[in-house]
Parts: sequence; C-alpha cells; structure tokens
Amino acid sequence: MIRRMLIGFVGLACCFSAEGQKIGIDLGKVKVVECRPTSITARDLVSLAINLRFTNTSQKNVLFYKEPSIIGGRVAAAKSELQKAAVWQADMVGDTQGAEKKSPGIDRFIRLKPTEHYDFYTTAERPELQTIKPGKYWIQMLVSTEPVEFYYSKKTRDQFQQQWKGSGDLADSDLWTPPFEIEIKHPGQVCTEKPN
Amino acid sequence: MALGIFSSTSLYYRARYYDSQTGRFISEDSSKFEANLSLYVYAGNTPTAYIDSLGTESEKPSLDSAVSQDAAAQITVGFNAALARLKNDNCKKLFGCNAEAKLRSTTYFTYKGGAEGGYTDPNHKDVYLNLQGALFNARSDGYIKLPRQNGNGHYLLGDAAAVQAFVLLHELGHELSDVTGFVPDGGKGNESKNRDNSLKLLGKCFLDARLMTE
Repeated sequence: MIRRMLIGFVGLACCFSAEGQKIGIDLGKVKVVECRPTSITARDLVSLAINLRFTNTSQKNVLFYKEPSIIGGRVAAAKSELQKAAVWQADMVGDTQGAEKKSPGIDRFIRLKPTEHYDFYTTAERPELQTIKPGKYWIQMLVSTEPVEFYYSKKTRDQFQQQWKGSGDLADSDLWTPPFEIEIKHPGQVCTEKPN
Repeated sequence: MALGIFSSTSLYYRARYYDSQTGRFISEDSSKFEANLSLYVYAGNTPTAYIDSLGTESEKPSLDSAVSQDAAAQITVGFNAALARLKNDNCKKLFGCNAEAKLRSTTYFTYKGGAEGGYTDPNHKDVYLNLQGALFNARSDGYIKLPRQNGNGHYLLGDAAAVQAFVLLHELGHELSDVTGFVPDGGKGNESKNRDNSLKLLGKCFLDARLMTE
C-alpha cells in the first residue's frame, strides 16, 4: 500500500553551546521538505529539512566551513530517553574518489566575528527515520563542521589552519543539535513546508 | 570506465555491460554456452532479484524494496565480490564461521546523505548505504584512501567491485564486531579507529591490494 509520511514540526529547541567549543549552534527550524510515497515498497522515504544557526560564542574570529553536514543522530520516543538512545554515526569507510587531494580554499569558509552567526539550510534522507512507525519522536542530530578532506588528512587541516591563521581559528567539529520533536504522520496530510 | 555514475545507464559488471534502460546485458557472458540460455540473459534479466557473482553464478542479496535498480546492481556486484573474498581462509578467520550467513541475512537500505559511506543500524544491525558515498562512487582502478593514513598513501584494490566489496565487508565487520573486534569508528576523533578497522580488513581479505605512495 502506498503511504505517505509527513514530518511535521512540533517543537522548537533553542540555543545551545557546549563548553570548550568555539561555535555554538542554534537550531533554527525543522520543516517538511519531502513526503515521498514510494510505490514499490512498504517503506516510506523520509527527508528532513533543517535550518541550522551557528553562532560564534568565542572571543576570537572563527573560520567556519560553509557546508556542514549531518553525520549522525539519535531518536527516542521521549526527550528523557535521548541520552541513552543508540547513536547512528556515519561510517566514512574510505575515500574512493581522491577527494582528500582537493585543497580546501578559503572561499569555502566564512569568517565569523564573535557573536556573529551563519545560517545553513540542509536536507537529507535520514536513515534513523526510515523504518520507524508513525508517531512523535525526539531527535538530535550530529553535525560535522569541517570538510571531508580534513577527516582524511590531519596534515591538510593543520596546513590550512597555519596558512589562514591571520583570518581566524577553525571551528571545532562535531556538534550536537539541541533535541527537537517531530511528528511522523500518515497520509492525507498536505505535504507543505511548515514554518517555524 | 568509472563505476557508480548514476547518470550513466551502462554499468560494467566485470565481464559484461548492463544497460539499465533496456534491462539487458549488452555483451556476451564469458561462460557463454555453459549458460545454456540466451547469451544476453542475466539471471532472468532481473539483476535486482538475482545476482551473478563472478559473471557465472546467480545469488540474491537482501535488499530493501526501495533500493533502485541502479543501486541494487552496484550493491550486488560488491556483495558477490565480498562473498568471494570470504572464501579465503585469512578472511574467514577475521569474520568467523557465520560471515557468509550474516552477509546474506543483512538487509541493505539506501539513502542520500553527506559524504559518508553509510551506517550500520545500531539497533538491528542492518546496513544503510549512502548513494553519495564510497560504494556508489568507486573508481575503476579500485582507489581507496583511509582516514588519516600515514605516509599520505592510498590503496589500489584493482577494480571498482573490490572497493564495493571493501565497503560491504567493512560494514560486516561492524555487524560482527564481537568476532572481528571492529570498534565504532564514526565521527571526529575516531579517524584512527576507522583506519585501523580498515587496515585489519585489508590485511586479511585484500592481500592483493597495492599500497601507493603520493
């Protein structure tokens, strides 16, 4: 049976900054991006669209990667259960394209002065959500704030940091978003974006 | 020719090309007459349902029904290459007696995420493969670079199928972590763990891999 799932924004978490990190991260909003019925499966593909706000909570200028990516998450029925929920964490396995050879240019970073922020909008199919039943859930996402080249080569990261030291320090990675609640519904729902 | 280009409609399966638009193989099977069927028939022309591991046999992996035909084709190539690797004694020792059964019973899902290769479900031990990740973007020379590898080297595994097998076996290593000793290796700070898991895999199952210095 063809079904549709809807991810609806239910709650809003706000303002997060972990001790020792140069960059705080605020969750802007979570909204519906896609309600895709899949005619050949009993499963539904669920995508999230997320606005993330990264704020420089340090006293220094920070070089922030413009294309952060979600690399993990955890899902629980209740907020209080999140901490002990299993963490889905991306396995890089290996670089099969030679991506680490690409030199990350300064134009791929933005310089944030203290208190300045950077808004980033991203969408992704989340494996954590692909087999769960309709209902309300609490979610936290793990966000990588550095290019993949840095993962494969610490040398590249160090060289880059040294080269651009005058512009600022590289931001720390990885960061957890604040917990937020979503509701996965069944069809009949209009698949539209829900504002904050 | 590089494998894993989704816009391409022709995928190379070791000895043959598969045209995803027509759903047929467009070159002859090397085992030709032994097949005793049309030279262009590959497992009933339904590669998502059956697999021809080395171009001569058919076997079926467990795929989520939402996996596209193109993705299924690439997973099955890697799946069969992985099964072949598991027949090697050294590789068997790493994964244990239940390796082949576990590989066969694993359900493979696909999704589109960041740059990662995929996830092993921490709850049910199924495997989620990223359409933007390593398995679906393997190079035809079998290039693979491990995280934070010493000496700035990379490995050449020979062909794309070997890389695809490498990805599936890496995830199998997580599924059978009690036997393999694979530790969780995602995220920052775990680069060396990820590398060590992969080096263990290379040392046991990919003895033909060539280390290239850069």
